[in-house]
Amino acid sequence: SNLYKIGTETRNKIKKFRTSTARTDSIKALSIKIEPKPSYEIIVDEDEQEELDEIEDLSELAEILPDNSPRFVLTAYPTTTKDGFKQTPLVLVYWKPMTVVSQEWKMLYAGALEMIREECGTFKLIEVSSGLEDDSDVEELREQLENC
Amino acid sequence: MSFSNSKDKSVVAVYKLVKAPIYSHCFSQDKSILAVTCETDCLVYRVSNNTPPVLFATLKDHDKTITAVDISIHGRIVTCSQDRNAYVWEPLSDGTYKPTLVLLRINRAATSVTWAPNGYKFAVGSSARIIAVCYYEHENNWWVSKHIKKPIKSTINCLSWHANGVLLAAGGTDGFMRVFSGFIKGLDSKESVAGSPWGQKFPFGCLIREWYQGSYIHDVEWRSQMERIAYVAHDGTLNVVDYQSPVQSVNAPEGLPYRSLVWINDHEIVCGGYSCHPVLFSEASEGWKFAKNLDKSDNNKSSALTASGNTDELSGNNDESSTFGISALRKFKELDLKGKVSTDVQESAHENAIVELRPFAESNGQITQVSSCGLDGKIVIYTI
Repeated sequence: SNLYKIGTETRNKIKKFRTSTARTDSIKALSIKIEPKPSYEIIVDEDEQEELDEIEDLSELAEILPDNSPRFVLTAYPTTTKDGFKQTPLVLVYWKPMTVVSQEWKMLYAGALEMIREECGTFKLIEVSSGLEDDSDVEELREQLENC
Repeated sequence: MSFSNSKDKSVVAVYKLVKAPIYSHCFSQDKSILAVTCETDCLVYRVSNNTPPVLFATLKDHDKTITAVDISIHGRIVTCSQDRNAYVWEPLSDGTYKPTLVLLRINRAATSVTWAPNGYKFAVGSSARIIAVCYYEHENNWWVSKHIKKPIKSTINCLSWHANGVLLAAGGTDGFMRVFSGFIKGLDSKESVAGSPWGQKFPFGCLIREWYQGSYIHDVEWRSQMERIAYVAHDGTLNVVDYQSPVQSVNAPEGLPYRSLVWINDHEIVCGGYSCHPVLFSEASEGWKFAKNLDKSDNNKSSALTASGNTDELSGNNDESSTFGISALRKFKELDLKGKVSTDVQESAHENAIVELRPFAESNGQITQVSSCGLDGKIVIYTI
């Protein structure tokens, strides 16, 4: 009796992303979206993903992610700890720019948050409501990711 | 409608519409509708040849002074105001307008607004050091506003879209003239800027080019087919730039700054400002230079007096006694229009600064007539 549906295909994509990015040297991101009424299916948007696969820096996210809908972006962000260890934590970025006006979309994503977290197997969550319009917004996200 | 007393044939029509400054005006595409700002209202007139404009709608949702108005190619009116809001007014079949509030998300006054050439988005300049690019989202019935912030350091005074609908020129009080990208995903196509000499990639909000003028930029306009931009600044200059050559600059012959400019053709620009009459500049092999004054006030007192036909002025033929001849009514009228009492009779059609010029009539790619609005509450149409 769950509102949302998630298929094996999406589950596999998430699983594959988790394993393939464990030792990545560059930023990787997986865009997870919810299909509109009536299916409410959780999927990976192919077109968006193609563009996301090519990004080299966080600042490029704003160009790819939509202004009018939230997204969940599972992100592998390689950092070096203070002790000099390299690590690539998996962080769920909850993209919810202020330019989203549809209450329905906002509720739909807010309601699915816990479920997506479970599916992605990460409890590191960063909410991005700035839309990354400004350089300082990008820097803020970068700092948050590095401290994860 | 009244015609200017001036013997100059450049003035086609003068409409004295309101008793307040008109900060902005706009004609619809077919010139049948005229929108002017008047304090907190936007007045919409129906215009036909040789009859005075007839007021048919008053748009009154703003609660502070309206600073700018523009009409899209589809006839939608957009207004922005010091109350920090913008409204889009959709014309209905019964002649009224349906307002839609656009949440600009700015915390200072909106100063200028301009529709993109395709009429599907517009840009609003503001004192919040932000340019808001707004577009309509159909599924939510809502105007979304996206911000361009960096590296704007002060109020934006003026905006102009390139014909491709992506490049946006902006000038402001930080003394910079900048070109940004106003590319909106899902609305603009990458093809529209393919091969542009201004760059390769145009992500939204990206600064493409900037020029430092060092004084307030009052108006800016693209000449898209030549990939050039002209702007006027408070230092009394008209400047023309493109993507590679250095700035070409020309000074106002009277030293007074211009508030507005219009490209007449590839090599001519008309400017208007604090000298109260339009001035034509043209480009020759040695660069831009002053070409001619339109409707210039005649400083020769005797000829002005005969031209004026104003009886209560006729008694005086020297400076002191002419002050005597001013009637109280005229005195207060002058205070109202010019902010000062002067003994000069009216010479140019505008009695106070021109704040905005717009193209009015065009033939064969050449602007033949321009319209202007001024702080004296008049709309004047000039022939070039």
